[in-house]
Amino acid sequence: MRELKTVILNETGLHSRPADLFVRTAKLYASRITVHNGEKRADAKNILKVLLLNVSQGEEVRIVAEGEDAVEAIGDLKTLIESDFCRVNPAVDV
Amino acid sequence: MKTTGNELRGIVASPGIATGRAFVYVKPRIPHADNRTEDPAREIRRLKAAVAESVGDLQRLTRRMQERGEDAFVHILRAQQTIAEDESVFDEVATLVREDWLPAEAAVGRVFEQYTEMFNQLRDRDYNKARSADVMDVYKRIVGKLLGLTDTELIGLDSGTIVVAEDLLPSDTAMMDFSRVAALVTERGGVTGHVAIIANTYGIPAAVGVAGVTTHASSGDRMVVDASCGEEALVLVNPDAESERHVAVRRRRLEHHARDLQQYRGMDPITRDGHRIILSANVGSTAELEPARVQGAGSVGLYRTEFLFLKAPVLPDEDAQYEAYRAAAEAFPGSFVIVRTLDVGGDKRIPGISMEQEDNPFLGNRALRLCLARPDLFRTQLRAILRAAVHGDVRIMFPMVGGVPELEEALDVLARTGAELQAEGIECRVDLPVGAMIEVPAAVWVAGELARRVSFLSIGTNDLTQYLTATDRINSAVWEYHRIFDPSLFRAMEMVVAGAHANGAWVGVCGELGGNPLAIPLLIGLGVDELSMSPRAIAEATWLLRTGTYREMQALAEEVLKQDDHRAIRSLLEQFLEKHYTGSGEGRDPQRPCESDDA
Repeated sequence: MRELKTVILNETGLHSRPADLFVRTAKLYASRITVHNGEKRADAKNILKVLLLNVSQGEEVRIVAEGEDAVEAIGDLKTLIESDFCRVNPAVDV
Repeated sequence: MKTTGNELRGIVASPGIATGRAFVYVKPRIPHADNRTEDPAREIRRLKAAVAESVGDLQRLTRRMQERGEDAFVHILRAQQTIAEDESVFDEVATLVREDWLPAEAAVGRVFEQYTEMFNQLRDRDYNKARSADVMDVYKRIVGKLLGLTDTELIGLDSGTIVVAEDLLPSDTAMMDFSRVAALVTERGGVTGHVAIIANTYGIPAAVGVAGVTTHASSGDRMVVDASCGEEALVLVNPDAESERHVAVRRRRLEHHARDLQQYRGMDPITRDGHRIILSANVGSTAELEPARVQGAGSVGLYRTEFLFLKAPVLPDEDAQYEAYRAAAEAFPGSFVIVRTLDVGGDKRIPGISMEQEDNPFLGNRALRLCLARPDLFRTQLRAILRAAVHGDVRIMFPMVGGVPELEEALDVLARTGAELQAEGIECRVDLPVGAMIEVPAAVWVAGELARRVSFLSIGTNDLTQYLTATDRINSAVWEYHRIFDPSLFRAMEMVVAGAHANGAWVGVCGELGGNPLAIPLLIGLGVDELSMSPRAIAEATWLLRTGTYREMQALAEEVLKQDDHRAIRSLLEQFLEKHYTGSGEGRDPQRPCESDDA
């Protein structure tokens, strides 16, 4: 199991385009990935659940991945979030 | 005119003649969940196919928007695709089909309604309203496929398409490629609704209130829209050769008239006896600025800011708005650009702004009222305008001022916003001229008192007519009562002009009437100082001005103010044009196409 705690700095939070890129990146991996925002959590591969987490700018999220490719998945999502959703895995159409 | 075949009549919302192929736009309706299926496995197969087709559509649309460089739409469509592909949503729907024996349509409906409900309950409602609109769009697309509907979107039209619909809302037309649209025809909608505004903006003929057109016409039918003469539009479905020839002759004549008028573009807008008028353009985006200048507009009399909000996937922030207003200021150096603060509500709803469902939205929380209730929205916009004002002669206009209290409140917010920018050390101009729109009848009687507090008044004839005559302007059932030449309107204008001039303010007209050739001499005769109109009406307005005299127009206004019936007013206006604008005159007189028989 791998875990990442990070703050969403993007202006629109984890919404619309960032949420879309986040979910499509998560879907590249076989691991079970969940996003936690305080008490609430969502399956990182379910766009509606991620949107309903309603993560705003400046909020901290915890991302947990379980599975064989958990390390790669967390690394990829970290790059995505920390680059302000600019560095996207090439397998995801932008 | 003699015509045969399938002939329908409606109201001209934007003038012109077009021939093309019909595209009957269908909006899927939410199906009732009261029936049950006997074959859940079959329903799940149908569901799978519908989802796959929807995803395919979205991919195709994404490519098209990429080609057009519409990045904002690309992002929306990509997000919608991710929603459509979501496996857990699919599983939820499939479970409902299996366990509750629901048909696929109803199961999709139930699941998506739950989600939109959840979005609507989140905090930060504006933001999530837009997301819930995305979810609804995906849902409608999948349901449309399940119901076997085609033609459920206005993207990817063939060129020369005549778009036929029950009604078109801003959300329907946001992604429409206007360069491929030959005309718009709707069953509902009025002469001053959304369809009229966008059609005039893009110079596309439009007929509204055409009862039965969505049932009489099918996609692919040949269609003729003749909106060239007066207020009645003629729509022909699969016309015979003779009527098509007839229309072709009229169309050539109209084009000839338009060509003749082009010589007046950019000429000084002054009457033969030396009375000068300001001719301005109504615009709604940065893309419309250059065409407006080319058409001869000297200034922008109405910048409709709501379109900035409509096109963006998220509410445009202060910087995005600042850039847009700055572009307008810089496109018209040495002349003014009047930015109207957000005018939403009524028939204009914006996905990113949550509005309560109201029984009477036109009498509800709209325009300035909404802005005063939403200081966050209002302040952001005012800050952007004050910052842009550094780059030119930017002015502010508040829509739907009903009286002194809300005008004072708006002016107070404006002053505080200016002080706030200055305290932050941000470059801005705080002394810019401010105006109030006169569109609520109550404002007519206090026009002088309003004028004392501002630099100008601008009469919004669309809404003022709607409120004076108590007719919902998008309800074609009451069209005959929505009289655009109603005596009350011109008597109201007389009061507004008197009140403004007595208090040192000038008066403009920025509704559709301002660009109506029949009305222009009258408006000038009533003492209006500025007319703001669709850019393409400016050449004709210049011709009307330069060919006539102020003295004659004042006499016309005097005569009109004595009338008690809009029909009498219309015939006075028609006689005026016939008398002064045909036959010999200054320069080459373009012959007006309506005033002669078809040869």
